[in-house]
Amino acid sequence: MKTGIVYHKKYLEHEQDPRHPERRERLAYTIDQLTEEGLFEDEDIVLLEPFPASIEDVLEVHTKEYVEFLKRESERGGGIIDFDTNIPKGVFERALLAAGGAIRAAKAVLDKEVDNAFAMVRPPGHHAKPYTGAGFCYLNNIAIMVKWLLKRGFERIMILDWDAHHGDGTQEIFYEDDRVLFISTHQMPLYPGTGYPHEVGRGRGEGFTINIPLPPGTSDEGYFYVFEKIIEPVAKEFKPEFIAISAGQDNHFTDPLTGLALTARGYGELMRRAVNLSRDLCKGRLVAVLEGGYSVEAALPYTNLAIIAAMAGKDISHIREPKSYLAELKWRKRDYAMQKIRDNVSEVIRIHSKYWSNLR
Amino acid sequence: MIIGVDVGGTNTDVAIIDEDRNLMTYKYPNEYGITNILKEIDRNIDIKSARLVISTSLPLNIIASRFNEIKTCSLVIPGPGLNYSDYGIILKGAVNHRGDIVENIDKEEVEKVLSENKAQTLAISAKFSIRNPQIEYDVLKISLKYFDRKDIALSNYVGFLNFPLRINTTIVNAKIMREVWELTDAIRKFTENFFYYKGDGGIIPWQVALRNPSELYNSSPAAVAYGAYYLTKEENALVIDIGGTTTDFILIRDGAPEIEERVKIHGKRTHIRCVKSFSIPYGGDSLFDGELKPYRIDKPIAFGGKHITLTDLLNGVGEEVGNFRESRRAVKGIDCERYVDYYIDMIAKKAKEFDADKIIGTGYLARYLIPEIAKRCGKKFIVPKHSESANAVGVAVSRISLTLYARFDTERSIAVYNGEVNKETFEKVSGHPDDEEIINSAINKAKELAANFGANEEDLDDVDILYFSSFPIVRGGIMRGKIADVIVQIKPGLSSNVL
Repeated sequence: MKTGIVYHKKYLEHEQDPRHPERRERLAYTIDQLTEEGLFEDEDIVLLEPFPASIEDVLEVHTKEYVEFLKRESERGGGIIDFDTNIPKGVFERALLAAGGAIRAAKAVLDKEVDNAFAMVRPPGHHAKPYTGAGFCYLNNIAIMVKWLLKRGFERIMILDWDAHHGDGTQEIFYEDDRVLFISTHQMPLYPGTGYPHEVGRGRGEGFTINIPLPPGTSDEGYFYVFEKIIEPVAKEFKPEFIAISAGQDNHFTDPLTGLALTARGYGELMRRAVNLSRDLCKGRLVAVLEGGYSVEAALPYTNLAIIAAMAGKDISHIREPKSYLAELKWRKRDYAMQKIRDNVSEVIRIHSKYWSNLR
Repeated sequence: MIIGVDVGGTNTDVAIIDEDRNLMTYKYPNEYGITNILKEIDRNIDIKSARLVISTSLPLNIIASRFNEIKTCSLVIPGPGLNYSDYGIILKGAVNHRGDIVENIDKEEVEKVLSENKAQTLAISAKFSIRNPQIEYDVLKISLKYFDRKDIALSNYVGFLNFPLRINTTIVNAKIMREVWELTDAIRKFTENFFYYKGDGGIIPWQVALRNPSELYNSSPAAVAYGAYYLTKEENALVIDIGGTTTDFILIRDGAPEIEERVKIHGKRTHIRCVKSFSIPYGGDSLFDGELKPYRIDKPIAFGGKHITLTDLLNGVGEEVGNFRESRRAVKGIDCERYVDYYIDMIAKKAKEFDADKIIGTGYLARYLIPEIAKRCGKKFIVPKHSESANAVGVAVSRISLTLYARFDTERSIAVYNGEVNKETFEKVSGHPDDEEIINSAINKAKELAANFGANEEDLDDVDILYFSSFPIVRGGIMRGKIADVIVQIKPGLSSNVL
């Protein structure tokens, strides 16, 4: 299986502040790990060079007013969107390259250059709404990519957003769209505070937004349970022609901002299941787009490796964190979490069985 | 005084450049042996006070003929990550991307594996060992009970990130280490201060070569290319080197040959880099037994051999190479012209494929064959004086080209140069040097090392930055320091001594 990795040195250039959680160091260690594992010279891995997204493609998602604001402030530098998200000089070009990176990944899959692809882009995108950026995000990379795919005639696209934070931006963009099934798993309560099971979409989009809140301490088992009970059955019923994953990596047990207690191996396993779904349902067409993930040293090198290895069909059985980190996993994992997950899953099934016969 | 020696497939060439830049070249059959050759040189020149540079085809020969015969035990310490069980015996222990030892080795496990081993040579490779070689040293310490040091290769000396390629390279090193070590011992009887010539045309002190002997792999094309360039000063040309067993094609662009990275050895990619060349398995010693064969059995009859070769056929068509009368007696009744023509045609056809207007002919048959080859492929040509030993000339005229892999971690006040931890550099520097400061620090270190090995000051101006990346380390919202990786190389090229 051939897997594309979209990456560009410019993705390391973006930085709001050297101390910000979403900083250059995030990808730097990952690149080290992937280089040392030999992945960039592996015959199953194709390094894809991104291009900047066109303004036309961006305007499919964002308002003209916001795009002009972002462009103007980015030329000047120093503007502020929210508490966590300022506008450093030049961010507009980097955000365009990140959105273009997602399109590049999708294009490579459509052109059969690769079987699937991982857009390892920065800055992230899933909190960005049509009219504003938010939560470290400026342009909604995955939404821009999905709109690009819709324009090319796809009629059913599934977005799986497994970032620890709710993908509120992406949800809002496709809330009334029945061509896009948006499934989000996220820690709750946590920023941005949305993503309740009763947020199901509106109008034609009703039933095509599925929110699965998770408690701290969810762990690998909790995620696998959600996959089996909701994600896999709904995906099989929806029959997507393309699967897009908002691959946030802040669910890892060492993440400083969250507490979901997923392991690197767990990430690999989730991706393996997603790849299997894509193989069974849509000829393997799958693109993952990097979102969050702030445990720069202890998690990202291993989780990114796990994701890429699983996408390329490689053996993931040796992917894990160093043993010295496992003490942290022990206290992060919580036994009561599993009961909470069962309750949440039941609630989601109760709400969505109305729309999905596979959940009945 | 500079002495360049190239031990090729069949002959050993020697080039000597004296203080007045007079060039002398000599050719010896390989059977004569390096010790005898050096003895002979030592009679006229004091080797100890000269700069001695050796290019050897030993690594190439071992890899070509005995690679599978020499058994290697490959110990692999991958820690978390991909599955490396195809690369050797997996051992416990792990170094992470920052060079922290995050899991220790299990000494009993290492002992057990080594006591059961039957291979002659040992390769020890730990992931991220170039960030911290300690784990490899720990395993080495135990291994010395079971192996001679000359049969053990460590991966951190290979220098580059990319673990699978580093394991493959370390296995190659384990197989060729002993012979390079023994050759070194033989040369050290004459001088403690000499250099080896690398596949990319640079030269390195023997101490460096012993750690990573694969750098010496296939150095002859580089030697020929730089020799041809020095002898003609042609910046853009195709070098055709007619040797005993092969005819090699090397393209020179802007005064330097092209480099091939990550060379495959026995089907496996390695970190080895060398000059790009194309080889046709016919040369002056190619056997003739009714037709020209792509191999050598013996030297030509013209040089005291027993079998007819291309060289003897050439004498058959009127040339006078060596004892040409002996050749002519032997080739009586053979249509020499037809077979010489067959060779010329084959070489001309290949030469046509290269984008160059001019051919530089080297090797001992060049002056006889290159004019006709050039005519047939419609290119200009030049066969310079000393063309028959251009390889040794290239070895003699090269400058010290040192590659330095530097990693700076200012949070820990650590600078790692070529895998050796050096605590001194950054204790003086506060936590956040700018990028330029870091790059200059690496360049100065490279210059300092090269100067210590006797490089000329003027040769040190040309330093390439092959790689640079840096980023700040943040913990608990506070910037703690900076990590930077720099690879710099003093550019291979002609030494200012001879320009």
